[in-house]
Amino acid sequence: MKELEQELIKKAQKGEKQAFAALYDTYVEAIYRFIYLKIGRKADAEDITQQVFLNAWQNIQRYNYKGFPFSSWLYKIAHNAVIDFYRSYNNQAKIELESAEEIIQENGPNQEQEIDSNLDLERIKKAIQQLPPDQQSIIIMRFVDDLPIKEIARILEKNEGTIRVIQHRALKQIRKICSLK
Amino acid sequence: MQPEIIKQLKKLKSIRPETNFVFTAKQNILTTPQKRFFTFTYFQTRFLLTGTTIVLLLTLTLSIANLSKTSSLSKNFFSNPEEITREFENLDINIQLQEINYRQNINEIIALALNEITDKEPTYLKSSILENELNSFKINNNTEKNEKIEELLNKIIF
Repeated sequence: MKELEQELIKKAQKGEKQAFAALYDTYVEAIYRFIYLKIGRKADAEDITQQVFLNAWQNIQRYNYKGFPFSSWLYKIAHNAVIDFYRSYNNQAKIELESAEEIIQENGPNQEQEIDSNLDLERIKKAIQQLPPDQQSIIIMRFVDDLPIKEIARILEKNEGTIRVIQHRALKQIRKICSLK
Repeated sequence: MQPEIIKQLKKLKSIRPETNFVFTAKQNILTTPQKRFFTFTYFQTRFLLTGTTIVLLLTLTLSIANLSKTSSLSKNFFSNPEEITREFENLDINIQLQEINYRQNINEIIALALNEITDKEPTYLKSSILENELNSFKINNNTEKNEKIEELLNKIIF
């Protein structure tokens, strides 16, 4: 997997569009999810996702493999893009969460069960939105996208111990928020 | 409670972008040209490193050569200080003698000039000399003498 990915990166660095398209197809869902869960608005999440991949395509020559998958680099760009988004528009207060029904794909015929599940997800989503940016990133990368602590530490430029501490605080905070509702 | 939260968080994995967006964004991105960055190739890097090393070595060699020159001078000084001290003393005497000679000459010239200006009238301004010079330039209008000269000249020539 890593060899194939490295091969695609080398080709993309030489300007091969098909190679970058393959990388895009592999990671677009994860990056979109990461941004969407942090921003909470579909339109903005789409804009930022496109911007992240555009930056990656334009600057892929600068990418150097240092033992971590290509996704680490993309998450890092995405993390910075979200920070820039909040910095430029100061939109945090204005953002209203969309309903879970709009974005979660239909999973089965049992509508009642689905609605309950969606409501639970809605609560979790809202709880994530209330966390500080670093806690949000760690929760999404660790529990939604299953990234190892080492990789998260590399993306956020923090040591692994700090990531564990922030993760513990974030889970505690989510539990607190969910129990209040 | 925490495992339950983690279970719920895992469910968020079902969030996906719209397929239409995924396709359109990909087309938009791939139609944008890539930025070009100048990167050193392996040979360029080797060439640059070799060049830098040569320049550094040359600078270092020249510095060492200069340093050794200075150190040989100081070595002589420390090995034979008497000779160098003597040389310095002689140098001082020579300079002093030259200075004395120069001052003597200057003093004489100044004294002569002062005498000419203050005590006497300068020779080139003496009225007798000037008159003599003037007389010598005077054209003799005596016609008798002229005639004699003419006769004598005719005798010599013819």
